[in-house]
Amino acid sequence: MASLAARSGLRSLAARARAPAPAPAGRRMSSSAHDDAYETAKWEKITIMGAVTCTLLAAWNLSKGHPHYDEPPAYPYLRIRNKEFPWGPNGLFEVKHDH
Amino acid sequence: MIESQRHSYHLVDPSPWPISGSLGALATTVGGVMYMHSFQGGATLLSLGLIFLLYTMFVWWRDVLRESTLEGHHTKAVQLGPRYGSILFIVSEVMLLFAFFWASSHSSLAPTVEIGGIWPPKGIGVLDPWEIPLLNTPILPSSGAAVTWAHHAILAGKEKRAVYALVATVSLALVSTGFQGMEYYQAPSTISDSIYGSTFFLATGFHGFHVIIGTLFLIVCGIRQYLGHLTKKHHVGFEAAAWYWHFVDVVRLFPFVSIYWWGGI
Amino acid sequence: MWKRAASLLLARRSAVAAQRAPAISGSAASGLRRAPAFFSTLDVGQARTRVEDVMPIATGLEREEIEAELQGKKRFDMDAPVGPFGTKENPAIIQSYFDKRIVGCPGDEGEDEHDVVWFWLEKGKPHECPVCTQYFKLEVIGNGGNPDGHDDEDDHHHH
Repeated sequence: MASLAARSGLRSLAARARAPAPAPAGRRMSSSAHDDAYETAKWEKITIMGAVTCTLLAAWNLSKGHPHYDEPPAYPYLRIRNKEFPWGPNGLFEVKHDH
Repeated sequence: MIESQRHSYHLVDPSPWPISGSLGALATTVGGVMYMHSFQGGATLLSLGLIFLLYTMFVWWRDVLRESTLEGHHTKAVQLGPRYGSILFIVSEVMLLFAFFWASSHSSLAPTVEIGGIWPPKGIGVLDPWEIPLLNTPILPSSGAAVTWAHHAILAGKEKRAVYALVATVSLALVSTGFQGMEYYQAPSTISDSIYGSTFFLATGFHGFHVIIGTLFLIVCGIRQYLGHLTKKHHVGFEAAAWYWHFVDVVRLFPFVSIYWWGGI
Repeated sequence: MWKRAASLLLARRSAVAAQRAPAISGSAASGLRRAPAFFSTLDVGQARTRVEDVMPIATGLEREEIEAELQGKKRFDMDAPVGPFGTKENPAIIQSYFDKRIVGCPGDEGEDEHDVVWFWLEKGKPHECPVCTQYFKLEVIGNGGNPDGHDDEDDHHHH
């Protein structure tokens, strides 16, 4: 697991190196403007493909309705309240389901 | 004496924002503690502190924009500061995440007898990783693609397309946050449900917080792009936002694999 | 940073002066996103462009920097002076806006390098490095005067 986190560090390093690499060099070669136009179009297409995928996934997901979970037995390590919350008994995202 | 400044650095004018930010931070922390322990005035102090902090951020960064874009103080040498600063900040955030993953692994790799010797602990209802989490996982990388699109548009001088790209980036981010909120409401467990809840919600919660911050940063970039502040040669603020955004979206993959998927089996 | 701004005279052969451009960003930044080289050799061959073509909204010091760059000059003198080893006949010339400037001598090239020796170089008083005898002379290119400001005059002398 620690290696996972280490890899996360490396990965974000790589992402940073990879992604902004076209960026700060401030190239003045005229050919790069042409590259940028090409790259812009390319990433626009990738974004649109991604957005479409997400829309489809969302439609599929939301149409399923959310699952119901049985109330677990009152283990001492669940719903820990060493002290009441200042705003009341429920957690911030806790909703009492009645179905 | 600007006319005879022979160095390319920026010696900033005196400013009240550092002290106001510090006072805001003090009020937020003290107020927060007071509120959580139900002391009188805690909530008020906490809210005042937060408002003060937000106000300081707004005016401080507004001053930076004024000094750079409107007054031209940000020469190449000065630009290095925010660049390296952003990178170092992101590195520090990676360290923070490292801590959270360590905490999660510590408890999940060797579950104690008190929680049933298994992971997830007995009685914890776990979210199906293939539902909302799977849905959310491609949204952020798509948003990352959109920000790359925006970047190339800025470099190519296509200012209008860059605005559209940033709008796409932010929209995808907001959708993702919306889904994450939905997931939190539907979740069978809460943060106070054993160490599982603690580590799960801390990791995903911080990630979500970072998504919101990144979204705000990108919104500001979108506004600036619309106003014409960002040029193809000089857009350090945008680059910092894009780096931060890539960090957020790459990081998303790690909780998905380790906490949602592996942690739920 | 002020070490760079102050003079660290590298007594190298002038051929090395051609490497000035990458030296600015410092070796530490190599490979990473370093600032673009001050000299853009890529502009050679293009007609002289205006600042508007490079960055239309540039203003202030940033604009002056870009303007100078387009003309092949440098607006800000951030580099350490470079030049041949200074001798009595041919002293190393250090430019200064004021009448005196802190200078550091690192010695001659290669084996003759020594730990940096710092000294004030004053107008009209050429200085010889006590270690390697490199000879320095100040050239005032600005208004002169004391770099500390006019605190050698009376307190109640108003402008």
